[in-house]
Amino acid sequence: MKLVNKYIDRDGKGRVKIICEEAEDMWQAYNLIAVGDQIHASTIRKVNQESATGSSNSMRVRTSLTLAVENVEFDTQAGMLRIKGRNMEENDYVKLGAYHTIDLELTRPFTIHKDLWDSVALDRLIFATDVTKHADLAAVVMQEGLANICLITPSMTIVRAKIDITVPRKRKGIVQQHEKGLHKFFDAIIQGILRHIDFSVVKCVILASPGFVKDQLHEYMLQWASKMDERKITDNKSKFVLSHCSSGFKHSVKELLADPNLATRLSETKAAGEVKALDAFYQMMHTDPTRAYYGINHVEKANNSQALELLLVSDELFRSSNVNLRKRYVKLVESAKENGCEVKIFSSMHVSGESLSQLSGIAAVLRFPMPEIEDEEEELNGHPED
Amino acid sequence: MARHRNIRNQNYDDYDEVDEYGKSYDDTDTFGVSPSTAAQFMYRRDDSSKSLNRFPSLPEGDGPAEEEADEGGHQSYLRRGASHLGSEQVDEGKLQSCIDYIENCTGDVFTRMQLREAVLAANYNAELALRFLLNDESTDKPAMTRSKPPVHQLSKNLENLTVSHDNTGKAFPRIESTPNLKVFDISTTPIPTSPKSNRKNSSTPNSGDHRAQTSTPSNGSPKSHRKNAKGLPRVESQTELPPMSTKTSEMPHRSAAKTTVLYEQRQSSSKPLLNLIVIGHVDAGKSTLIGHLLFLLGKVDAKQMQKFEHEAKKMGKSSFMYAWVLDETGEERSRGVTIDIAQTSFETANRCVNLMDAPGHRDFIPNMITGTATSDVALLVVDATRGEFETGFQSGGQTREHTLLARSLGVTQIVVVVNKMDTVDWSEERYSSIVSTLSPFLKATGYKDGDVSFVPCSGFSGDNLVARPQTEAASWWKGPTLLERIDNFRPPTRQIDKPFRQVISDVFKSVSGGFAVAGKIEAGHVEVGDKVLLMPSATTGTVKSITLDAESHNICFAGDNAILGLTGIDQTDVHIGDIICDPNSPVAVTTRLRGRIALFTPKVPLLAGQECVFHNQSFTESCVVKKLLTQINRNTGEVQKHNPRVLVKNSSGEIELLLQRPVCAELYSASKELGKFLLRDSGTTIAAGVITEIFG
Repeated sequence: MKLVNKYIDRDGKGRVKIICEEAEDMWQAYNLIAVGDQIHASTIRKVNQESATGSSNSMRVRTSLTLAVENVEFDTQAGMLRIKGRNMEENDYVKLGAYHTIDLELTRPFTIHKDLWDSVALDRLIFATDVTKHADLAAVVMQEGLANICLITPSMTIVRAKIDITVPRKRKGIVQQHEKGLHKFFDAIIQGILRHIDFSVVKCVILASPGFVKDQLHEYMLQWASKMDERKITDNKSKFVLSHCSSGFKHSVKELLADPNLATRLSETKAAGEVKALDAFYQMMHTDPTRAYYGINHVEKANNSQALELLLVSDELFRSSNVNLRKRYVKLVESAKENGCEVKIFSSMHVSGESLSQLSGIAAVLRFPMPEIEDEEEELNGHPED
Repeated sequence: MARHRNIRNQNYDDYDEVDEYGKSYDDTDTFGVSPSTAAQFMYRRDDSSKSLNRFPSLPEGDGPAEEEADEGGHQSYLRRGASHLGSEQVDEGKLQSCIDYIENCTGDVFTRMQLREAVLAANYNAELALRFLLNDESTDKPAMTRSKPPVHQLSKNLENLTVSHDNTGKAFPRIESTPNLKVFDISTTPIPTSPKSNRKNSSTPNSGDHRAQTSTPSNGSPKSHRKNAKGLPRVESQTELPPMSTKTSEMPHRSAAKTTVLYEQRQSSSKPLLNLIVIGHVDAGKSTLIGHLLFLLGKVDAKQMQKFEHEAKKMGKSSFMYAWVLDETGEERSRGVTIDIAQTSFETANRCVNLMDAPGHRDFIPNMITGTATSDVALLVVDATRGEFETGFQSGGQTREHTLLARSLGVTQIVVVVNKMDTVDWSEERYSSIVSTLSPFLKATGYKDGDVSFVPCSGFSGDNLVARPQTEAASWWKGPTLLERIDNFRPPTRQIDKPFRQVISDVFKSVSGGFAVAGKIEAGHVEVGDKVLLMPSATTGTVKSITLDAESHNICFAGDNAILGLTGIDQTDVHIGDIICDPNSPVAVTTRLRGRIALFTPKVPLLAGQECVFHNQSFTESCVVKKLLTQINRNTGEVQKHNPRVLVKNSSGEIELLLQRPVCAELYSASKELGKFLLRDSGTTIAAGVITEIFG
């Protein structure tokens, strides 16, 4: 993401002009733009014109509009961001207050105006515009009969293809069917890899599975590629890395991210850090449950005692359309930082972020045990945090 | 140019007319089908969804409601059947009069549907149908509990009928008709669809016996029938009635009694079936042990064995020669590791054993689970070699995990095979130390003392598999051989009388063309020609063939590991873990369920939001723990805490799960086999659980 210019007052009001260069940036923009902000961007509007004689014709006009954002939608597969809102500046084609929906486009600048740029938004802006933090990798997690081809970007894990083929199991005397089925399955995976993985962007492709499926696939794929003279694969042979995971389901990706053998390849990926942080939380829950809490009420209480050591927050919470709620989370994060707590903002598009979102979206590891928080839980039973 | 202009000036109305023609063709397409034909092919949404919804909401899943669901099925079936048969109004009339007649006798004991079914089955012979119904009543337990009070009244009504109930398992008792009563002439009623009765009919006229009247082919109405009977002299009709069921496809609902009879018939003709799984740590020698056992039992001929030996030697793995009997894929042979379950069968003196060889490697536990879920008893193979036993038994070793899994998957009896005794010179001391280490563990896992036994042997040398060990060092062993131990397993009881359920564990192209599914029948039975329903895709098909142990059969029962050839279902619709069931009582399908779980010792505690893999029989799918509902005291079952923050290791609780893909599920209270599940993550088993609630 490129930052074109930035005017932010001392009180936090201001505007930022940015250019999104890839789908990943769209995700960052999605997290920046909140309901109530104003967006100024170039867009295409269908305009109906009526001439003096009464004949009407409609045409598509490219125009720049400023919208008061009412709704933001993100399509993960296409990497598209749609913003719906009312027009704030009248021009020749669009009346004031008319509704319009902008599809934000890559490589075209747009301006975000916020009444308050809080620390979370500013941090994200800094993170998103930092060019060094880029590492794209692909992972194929599989088990016999099931494979998920995922793209892992710094802040997203996107399943590009799910391959589900029933492979006949070995039966006495007829092993050929099993092997034939397996080859069919491998063919489907290879097609998926060729179609969905852009080798010019992706630094490495992790093939992971329990057992020997990964080795079988790797061998089969290289053989197939040299036979078919598929340059895409033969030229990028060195990009394929084999690793172990426990199943072919998407959530096994977190095992890959935590794999020490892959650490050097993954070191720049934000996701790996998230997995580690969440694991630390689970571990603490295991060893000392009075030092690990989740849910906004519990964590806030712990923060009031300046007990937070590690705070995990899902970015989903900051996308909340409820301004007060968002303010509450921002306040918590800011005060935790002041107290020297390490704050990790999880991307809800990663596997670990998904887990955290299910776990109320906020969790913390404490510096010292606070059993009194748990006792208060009984009173809170009536209001489970969602 | 001129020509072009010509086209422009053409009368476009012509085209419009053509369009209209097109439309009218379309219309004939839609309306050319008669409503009744259309109805036949139309999926009645409300009908089936009703029965679908009703089934899971049952607290116990048995009794009346199940019957109600059945009735729904009957109704549609009979409606079809009736419209098919009753195209001639005569039949419809006959049916009505028969039903009236039976209702006079019995009152409201039977539902209209039962009556119709019985009458149709008895080919409009009212008496026959009545007797069938009554007899059915006496044997059919669930039906009996439902209509208990009226039965007394009914028997009063009919006390002048001397119906001698034969409880030895024959569905149709001998009936003695007394002269002061309406006499039924059973043998004269043709039941053309049943082959047995055909034989009987043909023989009756030939015998030229004392009967004054020959058979009247369609004496459907009871009146005429009685007239016939009156004309008769005293007849003692000591006929054994032919089985009620006509061809299966026409009568999907056989009485439970008949099923039991058929089942007992088979039981008496063959040895009791036992599904046995061989489990244990990787490289404990499971495959070699079984391979050698099969060789000794003559299941593998010497020539083939020689071939294996030769090939194994060539690969430099001569010690794997016996394992190759079961490890057939190239991958398994070259790596020397069993990857997937291998199935085979053999017979002992008193048991027919269906044996499965599970992989020991921890990566293949999902395969092991699918195998164990279908078995009744287990052989736990441990390596007696010093150090090897210990690695298998320590935390993280498969001896431990497999045993736990087998127990939570319903295996109750286990034989511990202390293998590779030759590597420790048949040391008795070593054997007893292993026994004393394992016994308390097995007890803690939940195996009863009487259900656990030990046997030392050597899979590679073959000592104490079939015959006593020859070596001098092993002379201390006075106990039975492995084969005798297997023979001593008690066969479990099967759910024969429940609706049909088969869990698919494999889909493949069958030799005879089309495709086949393999899996264990968990409940009920199925016959060739039966209509079956595939869930969760809800498509119906017909059973074309049944193969048990490479032999073709006409019927198979709960407990069998059967291969069914299916027609009417697309192979791509079938997934491993799907369930084939009785269309009249389909299995529930859901993505959200509630379960009571017992945690093992996972590395991290269980929190909401955790993603894990859900295993139910051969079904595997990723799921999310949506909510932790309660924490339960493991021993007392008391609720300790509502909405707990976390469930730590070795605790129990109730949780709610959300699955990525619909699963066929049944409550644990309704089906012990289908109501169980396991949760796994990152290669370790987190918890075992039972389904307590299914959300529609």
